[in-house]
Amino acid sequence: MSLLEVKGLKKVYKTRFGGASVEALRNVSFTVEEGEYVAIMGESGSGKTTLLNILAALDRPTAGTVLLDGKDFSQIKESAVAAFRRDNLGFVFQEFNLLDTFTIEDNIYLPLVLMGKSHAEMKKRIAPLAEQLGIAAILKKYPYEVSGGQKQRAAVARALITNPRIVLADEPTGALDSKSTDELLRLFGEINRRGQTILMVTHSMKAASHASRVLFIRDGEVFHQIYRGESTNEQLYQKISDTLTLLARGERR
Amino acid sequence: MKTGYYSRLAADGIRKNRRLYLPYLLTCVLMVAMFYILAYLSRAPFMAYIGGGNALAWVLNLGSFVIAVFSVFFLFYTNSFLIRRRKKEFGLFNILGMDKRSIGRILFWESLIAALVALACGLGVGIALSKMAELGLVNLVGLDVSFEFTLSREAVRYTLIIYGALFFLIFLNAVRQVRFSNPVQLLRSENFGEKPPKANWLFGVAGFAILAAAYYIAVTIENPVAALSWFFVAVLMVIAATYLIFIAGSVLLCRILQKNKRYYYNKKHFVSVSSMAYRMKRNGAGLASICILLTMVLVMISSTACLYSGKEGSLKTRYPRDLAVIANFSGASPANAEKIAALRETVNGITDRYGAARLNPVDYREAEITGSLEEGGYLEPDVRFVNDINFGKLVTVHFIPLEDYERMYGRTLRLGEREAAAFGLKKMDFPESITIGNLTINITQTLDTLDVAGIDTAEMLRHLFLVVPDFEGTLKDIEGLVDYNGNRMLQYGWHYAFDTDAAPEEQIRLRSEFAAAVLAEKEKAPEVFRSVFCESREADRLDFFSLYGGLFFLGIMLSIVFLIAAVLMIYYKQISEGYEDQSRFDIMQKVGMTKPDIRKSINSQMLTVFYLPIVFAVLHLAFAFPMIRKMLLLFNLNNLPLLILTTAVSILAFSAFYAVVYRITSNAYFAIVSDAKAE
Repeated sequence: MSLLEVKGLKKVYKTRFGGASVEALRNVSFTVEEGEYVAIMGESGSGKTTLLNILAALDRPTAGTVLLDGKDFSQIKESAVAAFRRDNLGFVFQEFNLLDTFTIEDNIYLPLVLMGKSHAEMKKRIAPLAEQLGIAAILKKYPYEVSGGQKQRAAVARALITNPRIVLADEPTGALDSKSTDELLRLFGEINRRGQTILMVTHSMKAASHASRVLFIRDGEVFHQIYRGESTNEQLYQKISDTLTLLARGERR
Repeated sequence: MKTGYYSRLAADGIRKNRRLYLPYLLTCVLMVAMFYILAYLSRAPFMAYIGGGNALAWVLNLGSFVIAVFSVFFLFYTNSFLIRRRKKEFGLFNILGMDKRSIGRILFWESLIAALVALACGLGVGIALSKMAELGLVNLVGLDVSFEFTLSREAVRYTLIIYGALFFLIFLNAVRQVRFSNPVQLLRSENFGEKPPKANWLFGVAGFAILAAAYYIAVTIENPVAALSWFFVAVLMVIAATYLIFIAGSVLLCRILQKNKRYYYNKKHFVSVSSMAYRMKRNGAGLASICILLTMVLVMISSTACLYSGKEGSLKTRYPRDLAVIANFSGASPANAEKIAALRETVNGITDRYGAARLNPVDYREAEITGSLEEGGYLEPDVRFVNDINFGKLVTVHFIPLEDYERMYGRTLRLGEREAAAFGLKKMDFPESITIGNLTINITQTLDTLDVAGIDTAEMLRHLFLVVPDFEGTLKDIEGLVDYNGNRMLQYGWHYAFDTDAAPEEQIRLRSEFAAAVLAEKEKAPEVFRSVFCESREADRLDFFSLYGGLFFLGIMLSIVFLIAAVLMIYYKQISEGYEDQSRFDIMQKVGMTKPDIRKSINSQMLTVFYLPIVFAVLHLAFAFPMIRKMLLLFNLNNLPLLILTTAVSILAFSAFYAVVYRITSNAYFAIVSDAKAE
């Protein structure tokens, strides 16, 4: 059984007064296996964000199902959604989304506190993570005192500390400079090699070229996918580039 | 054309920011209206007709002055909120190429529009409501007069001058704020990367220490008049401590809680505690102001309500009998007894002529001497020799002949030579003996009641009444005492008072007849008398009630103003916090906090922020209570249950009102926060 199964996902937005409706997702199906590192690419307006919101259980699809470990998202009660999200999913956002009222350390603890873990347990969990992500020195600082790259690594730590079944990353490199981007992508690769499943939405070819599989979405449908196979990052980058060119041509037609 | 452009931009600005502008304009209108009403009432024509009108007018005038001063602070404060929000807009104008001069012009038009609206509406509302306020006042004072609708030009002029100047100052302040900032600052003034609040141990601890000291002073002050300067020190200390505690102490408390890992890393406290530190840092000063406003309102309304509802009791304390005649003699002359008999006969003659009964008569001679009561019951009559006069020590000792006491009460007291039975009006510890000059009197018993003259209850000094045998013989020893001006210290007098069954108007007429008759008696032997006067409870009732009613009225008016101010501050706080919390709300949800959790956490924070001021205000009130009670004693009000009742009712009413405001503003807050979710 796949870790994540997405079947026939459809999402229609209606304008407020019941006028024209917009189809953000038409028919999206794919699966993610345990330990995979999947990138989803697509242009603005292709439905990426809608898809991610549905995968994150922040939004509900008009039709279709999402199964995580065989559990149907639509079966989860509204009141239990947040807890489900907290226990099974880890999030990394473009805008970091750290709370400015907390230190870096407390930001990372936040999901654990919500789960009701003891302080000793939290300390035990944060130590190796902080080490791996290179943020041990800034744990006591506040978000406004550290760089964007450090903030994003803190956000990754927050996503990982719950040992989630899957990490959802939304444009994680979008607000970073190239050096921080490289560093973050290296870390994502490392985390993935240790067995963490990652699903990343991006329109950066560079970011996608680190994944083990790349899905392309256009007009609300999965248009194409590329497996890394034996290719290096550079080769994968080239393949992605070719595919995107193809996509662009297809659009012009 | 150009002018039209700026004024249109200004009008637009007001319209677009109405969520912020409307409450501000309403406050302005309210302040102007309140000021006009009080200024008008203090000059109202009916003041001339009523007894005690002068005191009432003075009280109301003082009230209008308080409102004017308060307006300055408060309107500046609320306006700063507006400016902060508007800066972004002005920054944009500036970047788009509008110079600061033109922005100043927009500001000018905005201020002009706001001022015109505030003055016009404020005066309109004030004039419209002045009649109602007048009726309310007249009702409280207990008058029965009908008046025509009037408009005081003088009050209008004052209002226009004072508030016109105030609005102009506010305009200058706004221009100053815009002038001294560059466009980027203007654009970003809303969302500065805020530093985490630092716990300031010194200020935080100092706040609590000062508050404790102030409370100690408030509770231990024996006589608020004597220690008036200390009283004000205590008030200032409480104000300072409130600010320190709210600004620094609260952050300190959050930091201490954060140090406690078990407590802090708990789902219930984690988010609340750390956000509270931020909230308090931003809102400390505002909350402290709210707290002080609430304290003022509570003290004001509970004490004036108590005064007002206890006015009949106070009147009875001040005038224990319906009618009273008091004579003071020049010295211990044998002619005194003769004159007393003559006066009594005259007064009785007049009452008999009116066919009025004399009930519960009080009729005694007395001699009084005032001095500073030192250790060991030593009374130093010539206070000039006491280094600095301690008003708390000043005591007036009244000697009353044993035979007069026994005649009045029809009972005998066993008193030996140089022995006395003592009675004190206000709570006091009697010394075992009193020594004046070379006279020492031992206090061998105490009396539970004594019908003393009402005038002795009105004074702020302590009074000690000693019933002594051999009146003349005992006092002979101290008769010769003179003060540094050579005036005789011991004053002889006679007090005659009784109730009557005559109608109130009759009583007032009786009093006038008494006054004329006793004055004639005095004229016959001017060398014997120092003064003679008559009192009637009914005649003074109006004076009394108009003062107390006026105070209560003022208490209500000022309470309304202060309360609305507090409400507005709360409203602005919630609105601005709502905008700031939008993004936080969002993040927490993404990280896995359930909506009810977030709502609960924010609710608990808002509750704390909301109720902290009123909790502290009640605490302040509790510690001020002994002081308020002593102050009210000066107004002849000695009714502890009533004071407790009015205080409790005030607190309850305010809490209820506060809860309603909380509901309304928190709904506005949640509307803003969930707005963010929708987009």
